[in-house]
Amino acid sequence: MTQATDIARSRQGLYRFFGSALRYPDPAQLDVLRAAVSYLENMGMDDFAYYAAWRRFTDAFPSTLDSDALAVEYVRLFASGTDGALCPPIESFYVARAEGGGIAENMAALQRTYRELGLSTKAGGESPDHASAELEVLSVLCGREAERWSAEDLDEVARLLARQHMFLRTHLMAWFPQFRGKIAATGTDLFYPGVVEATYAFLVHDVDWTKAVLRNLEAGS
Amino acid sequence: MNITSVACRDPEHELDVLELPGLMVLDDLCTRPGRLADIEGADRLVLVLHDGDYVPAQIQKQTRTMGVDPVGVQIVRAQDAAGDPARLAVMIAGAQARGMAFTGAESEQVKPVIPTRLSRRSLLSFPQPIYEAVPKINTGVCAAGAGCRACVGECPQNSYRWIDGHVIFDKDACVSCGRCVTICPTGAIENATISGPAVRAQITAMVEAAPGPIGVAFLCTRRTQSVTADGWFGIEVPCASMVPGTWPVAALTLGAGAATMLACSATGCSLQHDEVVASKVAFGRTLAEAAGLDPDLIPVEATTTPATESSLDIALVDPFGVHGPRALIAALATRESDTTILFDHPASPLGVVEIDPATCTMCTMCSSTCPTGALQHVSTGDSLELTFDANLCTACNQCVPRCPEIDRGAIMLRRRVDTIGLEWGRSLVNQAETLACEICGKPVAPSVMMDRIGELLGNDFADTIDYLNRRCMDCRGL
Repeated sequence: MTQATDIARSRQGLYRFFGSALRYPDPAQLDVLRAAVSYLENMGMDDFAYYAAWRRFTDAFPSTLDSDALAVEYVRLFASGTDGALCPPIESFYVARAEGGGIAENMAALQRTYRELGLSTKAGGESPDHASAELEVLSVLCGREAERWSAEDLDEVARLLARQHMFLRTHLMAWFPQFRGKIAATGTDLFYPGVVEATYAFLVHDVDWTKAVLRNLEAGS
Repeated sequence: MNITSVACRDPEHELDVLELPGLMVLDDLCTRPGRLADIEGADRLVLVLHDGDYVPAQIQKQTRTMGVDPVGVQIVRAQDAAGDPARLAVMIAGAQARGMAFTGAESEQVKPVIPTRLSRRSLLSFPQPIYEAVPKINTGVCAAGAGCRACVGECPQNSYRWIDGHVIFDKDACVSCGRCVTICPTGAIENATISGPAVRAQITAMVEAAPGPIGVAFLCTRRTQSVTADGWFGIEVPCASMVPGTWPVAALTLGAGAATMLACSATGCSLQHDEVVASKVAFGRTLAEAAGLDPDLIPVEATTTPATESSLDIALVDPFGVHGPRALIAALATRESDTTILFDHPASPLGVVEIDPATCTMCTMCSSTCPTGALQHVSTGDSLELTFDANLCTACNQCVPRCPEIDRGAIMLRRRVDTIGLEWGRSLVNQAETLACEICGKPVAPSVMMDRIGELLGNDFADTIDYLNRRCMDCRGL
């Protein structure tokens, strides 16, 4: 038996981890991520199917990787596209029509969703449709879910799970599979493909997990 | 690829069955799966466990921790060996071969199932989830874009929906019966726990490992009953109702002395697919008889000990694949002297499409929808031809509901095995003169179709029809 609170906390941590890993790297990022790997490993992840992808990622986590090399790779893959490998981790790139204000509409819809959740993106940070922002939103929702589990407020837990499920379906899972395909096609093997594969496995699982827990709550109420 | 076989030794169960070369034995493995952690270098696992003693979620967790994909772990029920070491050896050989044929499960191919708890208090903690394998659609092969919705019609749980040329799969509703996997005419639906090569490998290995003739019974992986009759062995599938009627005959070509499939709803299965299974067994028997074999090689019950090994000397590349039924039936017809196999059966995996030229308007809806290309249309300038190739027809019945003249009997699918039709290959089933544009000469439409439109619209639109008959869409300015 695992406490529901612990599972929600573990998911909160994983969303934050993947969100951080997909942000533009800063000098301290790799050390923080390495420390986070050890922390998350102790949170009972092996109960879940995404553990295999997580383990593949952590086993291949380059111990000698430095943040400069990572920054170069980040720009090459996600920003410049000068060698044809442009695959930005940005929702609007995949789902919005470039013409007719499609991108702005998509961004506005996301901002509205964030405001409804009491959230906003940091000035000067990643855009609201960036993977790291969307993953962080889910991390926050999981954190709130953990608190509600602790308070035994199951109605609010159900509402938060439904919110997570909907956000996953309508946002992240609407574009992340395509992003993942583009990353895989680049043939690069420096950090990011592993992160993306592990993130994808976790997202696929979390769509199912939120639904399964919701169903369980309905059956138990 | 390294496969390791490990058995649980439990004083409460038979000990002698475990004394087999190459079989690792761990005390109380069923209740202490953590003992597997001592095994190094295993890519695949075969576990001999005592049904009812182990918790599947714990086994899955432990194998996952070892880096072994739990979906590919083959669990052999020690009880099925009935205390016979030789029998257990055959079962393990089959499981090893099937485990080696496992090609991995993707993230989309499993779903978590959390045991339902009934008290509000118990909701605050979770038992370990168990993961069930679910199908995944290979969109590159799926023919939904052409209108195929065979999976939608077959799924007893309504897990599939067809929307605008796309099939939407509801993992949550799926109970993993596997019927979509074998009904899909293009082989686009895959379930990681079952594949044609894996089934073939398992049967072949069991036949080779057995000292005498064996029978194989396809049966549900969630079954509660065992196959313990002398000489009979179970081949687990997601649900017996997913097994095409040709599979037992295909098992005979691999050397099994008898083969069948067993329904299990009598033992409490909620899917209640007994009639489907019975119909497919009946098909297998009819096919065997029509091919000059003893129909009792496909018995209704797996009870009579198989007397001899199969003498059905047919080598097929993929007898359990999407084209397996056709290949098997064609081979049965030609194996000694040419035999004509011709019969209709509701469980036939092959079909014959019949077109009534008197009512068909050559609108090509049927051929445009046909996911396998069994029905095709070709324009030859001044005429349009509709052809049919029985070799490609999987009786998916996607063509018939699309026909706008279905009420007038323009098209019919016969669930028929007809080896003469297979020999003929592609043949013309209807043709019609094509009207030519009076301006550019391009084809306008089949004359019979325009006649039918005129008939439906009546005389009030005679001038419009006349105009449409004479001008192609480009020259009408559309």
